[in-house]
Amino acid sequence: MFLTKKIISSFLTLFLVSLISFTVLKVIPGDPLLSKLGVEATEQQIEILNKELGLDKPKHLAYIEWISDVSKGDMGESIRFSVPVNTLIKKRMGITMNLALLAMGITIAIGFPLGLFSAMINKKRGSDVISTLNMIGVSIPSFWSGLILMMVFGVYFKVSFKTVSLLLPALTLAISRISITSIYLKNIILEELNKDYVKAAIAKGRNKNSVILTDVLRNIMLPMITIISGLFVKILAGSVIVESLFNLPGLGNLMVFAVENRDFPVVQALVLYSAIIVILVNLFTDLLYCYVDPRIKLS
Amino acid sequence: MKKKLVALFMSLFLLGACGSEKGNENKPINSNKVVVRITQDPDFLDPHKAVAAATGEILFNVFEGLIKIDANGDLYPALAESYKVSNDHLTYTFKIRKGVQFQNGIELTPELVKKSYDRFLDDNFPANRVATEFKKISKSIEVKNDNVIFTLKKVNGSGLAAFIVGVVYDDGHKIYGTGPYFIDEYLPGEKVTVKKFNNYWNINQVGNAEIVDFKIIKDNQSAIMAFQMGEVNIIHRLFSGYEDMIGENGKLIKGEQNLVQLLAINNKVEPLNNLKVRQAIQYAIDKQEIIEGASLGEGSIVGSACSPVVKSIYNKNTEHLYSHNIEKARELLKEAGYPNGFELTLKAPSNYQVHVDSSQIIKEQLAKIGIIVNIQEIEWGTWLSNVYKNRNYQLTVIGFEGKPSPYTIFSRYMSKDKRNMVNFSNEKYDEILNKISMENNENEKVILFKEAQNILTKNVASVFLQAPNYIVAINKNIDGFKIYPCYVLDLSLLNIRK
Repeated sequence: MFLTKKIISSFLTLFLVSLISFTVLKVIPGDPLLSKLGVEATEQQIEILNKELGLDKPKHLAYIEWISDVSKGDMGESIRFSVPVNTLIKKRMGITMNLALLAMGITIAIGFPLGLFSAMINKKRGSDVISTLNMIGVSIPSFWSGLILMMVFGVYFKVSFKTVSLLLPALTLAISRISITSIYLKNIILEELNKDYVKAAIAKGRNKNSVILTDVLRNIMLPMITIISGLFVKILAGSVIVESLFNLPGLGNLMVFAVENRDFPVVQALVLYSAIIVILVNLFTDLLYCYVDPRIKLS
Repeated sequence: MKKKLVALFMSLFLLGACGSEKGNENKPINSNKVVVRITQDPDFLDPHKAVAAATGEILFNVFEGLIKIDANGDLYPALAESYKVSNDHLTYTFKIRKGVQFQNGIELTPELVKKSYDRFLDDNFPANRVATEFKKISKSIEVKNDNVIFTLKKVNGSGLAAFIVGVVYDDGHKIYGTGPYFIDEYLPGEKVTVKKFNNYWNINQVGNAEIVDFKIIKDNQSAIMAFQMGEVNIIHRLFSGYEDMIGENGKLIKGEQNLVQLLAINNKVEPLNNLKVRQAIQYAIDKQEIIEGASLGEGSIVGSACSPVVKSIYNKNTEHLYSHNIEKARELLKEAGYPNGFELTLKAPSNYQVHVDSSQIIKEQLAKIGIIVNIQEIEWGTWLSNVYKNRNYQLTVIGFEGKPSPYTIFSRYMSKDKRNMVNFSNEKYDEILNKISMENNENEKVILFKEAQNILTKNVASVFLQAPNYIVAINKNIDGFKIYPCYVLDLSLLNIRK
């Protein structure tokens, strides 16, 4: 029942996303053909291409045609590149996914231990240092930290981009997320420490840190799952800036390019795919909740 | 605690440093491959469809016309061995060069030249401006022995430049040119790779760059970093202000550019339809201040729609028609009925920093005569449809690049021209441009072009600001780079010193 409801609502969400993105893109100023052809285009050239690409059709007909093609898995053809949108996306999907997974790995590998450690030494000087570093990490915009990393590793240490390809961009993406994860984890652990079962365990003479590492960590599994699923979506969103900065031919870079050039079929497809990813991540998170805590029922 | 922090930093550092390459410092180029930074994708890899100036830079190396342009802006026969022009300038006879091959191995023949022209003369072909202009004047194309004879309906203002259009072999799936390089791979949004064509008819004149990657990097900072790291070897059209950042491996080449930056004025909207108002604006603008402020001194003043680099026709007198004079500007505004000034909106294309910076300076300058300028930064897609196509603006700052044929630059300001975004309308000007298109005598043409410039500037079609310099950051091991007076990047001239 839960799954059926979820699937129906997911399709409804996708339909609304497709409709809104289609309408918004048609309303915003900018002509895809002018963006492609520039100021020297001829009227005849624009007219022929307009017909060829079906841009002269009424909006509602264009939407119906597009959505019926999408339902068959055909996302249309890119106006700017004259190649199928799916081909464009498929080529770039790997880069973005690898980048996101690497950034997530770095974030989890550093953020979680840092948050945990910071909670364990709470109110000591070390904790203040970590908090300060976290505040810096959160405040630094990724385009700036990316440039600094490029300068330090690429220019001064002469690290070739080809060999480290995804490492610097992933690190750039991870920096602020490490801080966010660490702050969030520390806060939920501290909140958990105020609960009666922790107080009772400590009163019984157990070491506070061992209570954190065993009981508390087990009890904060659900918020941790929320952090991880949220992280993935945020990292994917962050890839837009980082890919442009490092000139990585991924989906983020493609999105910026497609919006700038009013390449509607590409933008629409990317919006739709992003919505699908978010829906799948949410669905997976819900299922994971039930697995971790069987008290939460699917219904 | 300290130890843990040090360990954390070290692990981060090692993560980044694990791929370090030794010997990167002293040998910036160790192969016959050159990487050129470009800012955008080509629109079409087809010389009959391509419109974007940036595409021309790539295609110049792949496709050749009967006539080609050199670095001095002079035209010379390329696929034509020789040519003859009839006295009435209506018949052009080209003797086709022998021993020329297309990049698919097929030999060039006069019939294939005709077929290439017929390709874009077809009404259903989305032809670009060069092809469309040719279509308007073409009457017939005939093949006679080794010659292709073009008969025109009327004399063409572009003259020989009309035959620069690339000759292609279209096999239905792919097109091939006869140029020194062929397109090997195109990865949309990433790069275009061209390779040296070893059967090129003039291969002895081609340098040693075997592979050239045109890498698309939009962001200037990223491009500079990539240049410093040796990942990119040539950044051409570098904006001023980045020169100090090219690092040890780079050298700079600077020169005048055939591009005119202008404060485009919509001549149709009030109060800008009043000549006195436009003249007041012209007097209030200090072009030198704009060059110093927005281009950091890397530019030269222009008086009209044509860059001073086109020496043969440039009218230097137009520079002195309106010298910076605030008092005169105020007087003119008063005469026009605006003693207290008025408000205007300037729509600046946000992706061109030089135009945005110039807009800020213009705002300050016009404020001195009471004209309050509100700057609206809009992104390129919106600028194109809103400002360029729909002409929905009062002021904007933009750059128009030069063309091999000056007629193409000036015809933009004719009353009925679709590209006349400033809505300039002047009967005398139209008459002169029509005369140019019919004129056979080169000296007469020059006189007419100079007069056309005079009319444009006198009537303040727009305020023509500057020709920004062309700055190229290039790896110091690459020789032979030459600046062309049009959007061309001639790879055949490059030589890598190893």
